[in-house]
Amino acid sequence: MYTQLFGHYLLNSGVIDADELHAALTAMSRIKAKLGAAAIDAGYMTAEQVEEVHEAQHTVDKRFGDIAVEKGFLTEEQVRSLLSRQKNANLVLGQALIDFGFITNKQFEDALFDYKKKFSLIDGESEEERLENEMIQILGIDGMEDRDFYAEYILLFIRNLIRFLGDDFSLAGVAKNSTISMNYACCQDIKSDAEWHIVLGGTERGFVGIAARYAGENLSEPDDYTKACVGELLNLQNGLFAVNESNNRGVEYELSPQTPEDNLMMTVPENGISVSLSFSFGDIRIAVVKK
Amino acid sequence: MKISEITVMLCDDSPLIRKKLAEMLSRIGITNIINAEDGEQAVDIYKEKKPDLVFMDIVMPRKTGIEALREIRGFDSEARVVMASTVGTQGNLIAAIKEGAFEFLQKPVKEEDVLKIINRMLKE
Repeated sequence: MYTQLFGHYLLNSGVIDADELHAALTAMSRIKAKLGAAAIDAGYMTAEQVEEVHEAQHTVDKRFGDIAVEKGFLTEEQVRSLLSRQKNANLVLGQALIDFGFITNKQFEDALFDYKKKFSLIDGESEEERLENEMIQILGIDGMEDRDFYAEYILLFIRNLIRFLGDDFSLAGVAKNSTISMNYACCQDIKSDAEWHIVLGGTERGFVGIAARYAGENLSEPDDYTKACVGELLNLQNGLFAVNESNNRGVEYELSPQTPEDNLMMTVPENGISVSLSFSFGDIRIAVVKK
Repeated sequence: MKISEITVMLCDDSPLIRKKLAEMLSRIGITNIINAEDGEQAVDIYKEKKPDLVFMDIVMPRKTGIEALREIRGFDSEARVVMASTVGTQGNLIAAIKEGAFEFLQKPVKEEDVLKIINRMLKE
């Protein structure tokens, strides 16, 4: 329960109680993570080293990063990297709990380690960045505005297909600045500062096939139930994307209810993307367009 | 209360999710299940039937799960409403906790999590 969410992992692990979590969650909008918590999260420093720097700050009028560099705990480059991670939701929550005195730096370090281990999170950004860069090349979107959004979104979509439907598919093509068609589709909008229109659909065989796989049932017709299954798969993709954005960037997305569409024709503009994939049972397509 | 006496309302616009949750509950021994397809229906049905537990989606037509949670808790401050959503963002979690949600489940929901919630409910 409360899976993928660090705060609720802490709650469920008994590290904090519900009142403490509530207080910290409410305070989150007013604070940002300090460098010490970020350094623990990144694995650059131990809780003991962070405490040592805090102790030193009582006697020297210097910033945390400067002292940590002097002591050889961090490099200048690591300090710059940490400064850009201060809005990470897990870090901010950890900082709020530390500030309130609900947990110590050591407890934060231990809980974060266990949490990452339990949920097999990728530690550090380099692996993730490498995958995103690969996706940018595959999609041919280098130089495109919002390329990082598209790369992250499609990368997650592919991971979810593997997780929920299986890995027996291949990337069949990428379309931009063109008109595409789908026999059956489901649509959903996601909105933060910008709004995006997402469409998941395909040929009849592809559409029914992904619904059947996702539901784990024998479906043969593109009826209302089949459409609801594809709609839920799209909702799952967008929900997990929103969770990642909330946790990693502090960006909150709103999702609209999903709607089915038959015989859909749509134009994918220059600043949009459509990716088609071939499964053994048929072809599907996902289109992402900025509104 | 015996497990077979528990009444659960499943509120989700997806028939797939309602079906999967009902199957999980049935395996646990809960067969008194009421369905609602959106937040508005959930509020109306809750006022009439007062189920022991509610599983509530967030993104739904007509009335969101958070709005329905607020209305249900306004009607019955003891209502046990489990938010079950794919959108387990910090914003939704804070809103759910503020409105008094009993629990928050990130979809896809696991049967072991449903069982834990039922056990917690029975202990209380």
